[in-house]
Amino acid sequence: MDFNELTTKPIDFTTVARRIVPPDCGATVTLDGYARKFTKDKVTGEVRETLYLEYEAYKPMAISEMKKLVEISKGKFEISNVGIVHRLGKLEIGETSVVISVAAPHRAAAFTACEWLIRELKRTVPIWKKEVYADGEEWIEGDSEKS
Amino acid sequence: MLLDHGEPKSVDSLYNQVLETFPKLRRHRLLYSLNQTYATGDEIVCDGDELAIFTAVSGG
Repeated sequence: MDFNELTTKPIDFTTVARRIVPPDCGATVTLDGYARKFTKDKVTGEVRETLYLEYEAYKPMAISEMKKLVEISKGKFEISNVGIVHRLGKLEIGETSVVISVAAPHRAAAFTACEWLIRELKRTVPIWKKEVYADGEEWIEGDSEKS
Repeated sequence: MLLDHGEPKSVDSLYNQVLETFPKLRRHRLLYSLNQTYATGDEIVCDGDELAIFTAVSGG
C-alpha cells in the first residue's frame, strides 16, 4: 500500500518505513529529511544560523501532487510501494520534515527512486518553508518557475 | 479572492491581470495551478474554477 500524508505532529521515520514491508520486497530505502541549523548561502558562502522552521502547504494540491509522483515513480523504477509523510507547522532544529520510504524487491532501484522522489517533491509539491533566524526570517523560494 | 471577468479568459490572461493589480508579485519566482493541477496557461477559466498563483515551492 502507498501513502501520502501531511501532518503537524512529529514524524517517527522508523515507523513510516515499517508501514511498507511488502512480501515481494527485500529492501526499503528511507530518506529522513530534517531541519538544519546551519545553512551556507550558495552565492556568498556566508553561514546562517536557523532557530526553527515553519512549513505551510496548499494541502489538497500537495496531496495530489505527491500521489502523482508515487504513480510516476512506480512506472519508472522497479519498486513496489512508496510512503511519503511531510510535516507542516513549526519544526525545531533536528526534527524530521519529510520521510520518503521506497520498498523494492532489490535495493538499487529503491535508492534511485528515493533520490528521484525527493528531487521532484522539492520541485513540484506545493509546500513552503520559512527559515527563522535570530535577526529575521525568510520564506524560501525554490528554483522552479513557470516558463 | 474572486475575479470578475466578462468573457471567458485563459489562465495566462488572468495571471497577468493579477500581476497588474499586485505588481510586487513580479519580484518572485511564480507558479500557477487551475483546480489544483499545474496549468500550462492556455486553459480557459470557468465560473467557480480555482486559480492559484504561488511562489516557487520549497518543501522537503
